[in-house]
Amino acid sequence: MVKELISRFSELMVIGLSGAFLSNAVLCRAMGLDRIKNIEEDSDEIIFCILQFACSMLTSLLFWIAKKLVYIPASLLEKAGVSEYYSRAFLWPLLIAVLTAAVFFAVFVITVKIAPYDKVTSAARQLPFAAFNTFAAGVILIGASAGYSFLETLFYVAGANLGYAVANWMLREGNRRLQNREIPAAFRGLPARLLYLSGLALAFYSLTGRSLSSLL
Amino acid sequence: MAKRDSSNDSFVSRSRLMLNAEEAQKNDFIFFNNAVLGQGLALTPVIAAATTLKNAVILAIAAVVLIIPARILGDATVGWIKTRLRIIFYAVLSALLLIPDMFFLSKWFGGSFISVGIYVPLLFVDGVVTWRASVAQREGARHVFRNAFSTAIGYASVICIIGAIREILGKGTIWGVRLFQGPLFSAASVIPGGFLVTALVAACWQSISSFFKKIIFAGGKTGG
Repeated sequence: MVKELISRFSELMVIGLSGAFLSNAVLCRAMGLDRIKNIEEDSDEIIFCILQFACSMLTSLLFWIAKKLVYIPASLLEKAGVSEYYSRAFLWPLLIAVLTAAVFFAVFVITVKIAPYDKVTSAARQLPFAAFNTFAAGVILIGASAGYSFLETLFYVAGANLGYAVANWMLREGNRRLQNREIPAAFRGLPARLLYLSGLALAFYSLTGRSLSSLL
Repeated sequence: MAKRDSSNDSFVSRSRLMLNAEEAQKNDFIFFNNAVLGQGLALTPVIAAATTLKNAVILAIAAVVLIIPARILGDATVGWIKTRLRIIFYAVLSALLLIPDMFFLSKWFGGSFISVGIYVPLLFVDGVVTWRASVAQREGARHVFRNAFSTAIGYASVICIIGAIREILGKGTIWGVRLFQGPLFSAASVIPGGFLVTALVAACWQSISSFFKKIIFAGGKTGG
C-alpha cells in the first residue's frame, strides 16, 4: 500500500517537474510571451505570477470536470461530418473562456478581501491579463489534450506555473543585462530578447535528450 | 518680400508634409506598428506553430477572422463595459468565433490543421486579439475597421514570411515542394530556431523601419 502510494506520488512529481522544466510552457512551447516587451517596466511580477497561478489552477480543475459534461449528439456530428474528438476541441476555447471569467470574479473578490491594502490596486490592474493569456489557457489545453486525471492536472498546472516563474525570472535578469549600448541598433529591444530566449530554449530543449548535432 | 513669402510657403507645406508622414506612420499597423515585430504580440503562434508556410496560412486565416470582428465589436462596448472587464468580452466573443473558424479550417486543411495543434484554439486569448481591451478610448467605426484590417494584414504577412523562411531552412521545401535535397538548418523547425528566426526577422524589420523613419524626418528637417 505504502509502496503504491510512493510510486503514485513519484509519478505525479514527474508530471509536475516535466511541466516545469522538460516541457516548460514558456521556453519549450513559447506561451505567455505577450508581456515580453514590457516585462521590466512592471515591478509587481510576483503578484502577477500568484494571480496567474490561482486563475490557471482553478480554471483547469473546473475545466476537467466541465469537459466531461459536454455532450454533442452523434447524429449532429455525422451531419456536420466531423469526428467527436474535433467537435469537443472546437468547444474547448468557449468553455475555457466562460470558466476563466467565473474564476476571474472569484479571484477578484478573494484578492480584495485578503490582499494588503497597498497591493490591491496593482492586483486588480494585473488580474485581467493574469487570467486571460496564452500561458493560462495553454496549460489547460495541454492538460486536457494529454488526458490527465484530476490529480495529474493539479500537479501539471502547479509545475507549469513554477516553470513560468523560473522563465520569467531568467527573462527579467536577461533584460537587465541586455540594456547595453554595445548591442547594434537593429538588435536592441525585441530582437535581443528573442535571441536570449532562443539560447535559453536551446538549453531547456537539451533536457529532452536531443543533441545539438540533430538540430544542425 | 515676395522671396520671403515663398520661403515661408515652402516651410509650411514641408511641415504639413512631415506632419502627414508622422500621422501616417502612427496609424500604420502593417509595417511601422506591426503587431508581431513592433509590439511583440502574437509571438506564441509565430514561434511555436509557424514551422511551415501552410501552418502559417492556417494561423493567419484563423487570426484574421478573429481580429476584425473582435476589434469592431470591442470598440462598440467602450463605455458600456468597464475597461478591466472588457478582456472577458473579447475572450468569450473570440472563443465563439473560433467554433466556425476551426470547423472550416479543419475541413479545408485536414491533416495540416492537426499539425498546428492547440495554437489555433489558443488565439482567443492571444495579445493580437485582446490588446485593445485595456484601451478606454473609442476609435469610431471607420477608424477601427481600418486599424483592425491593417493589424490583421500585418500579422498575416509576418507569420507567412516567418513560416516560409522556417520551412525552407528547416525542411528544404516550400508549401511541400522540395527546393533542396535536405534541410539547410534543421533547428529552424523547432522552438529555439523559431525564436532565432523571429529575432533575425525582427532585427531586419527594425533596421528597415529606422531607415525609413530617418528619411521621413531628416527630409522634413533639412527642408525646414
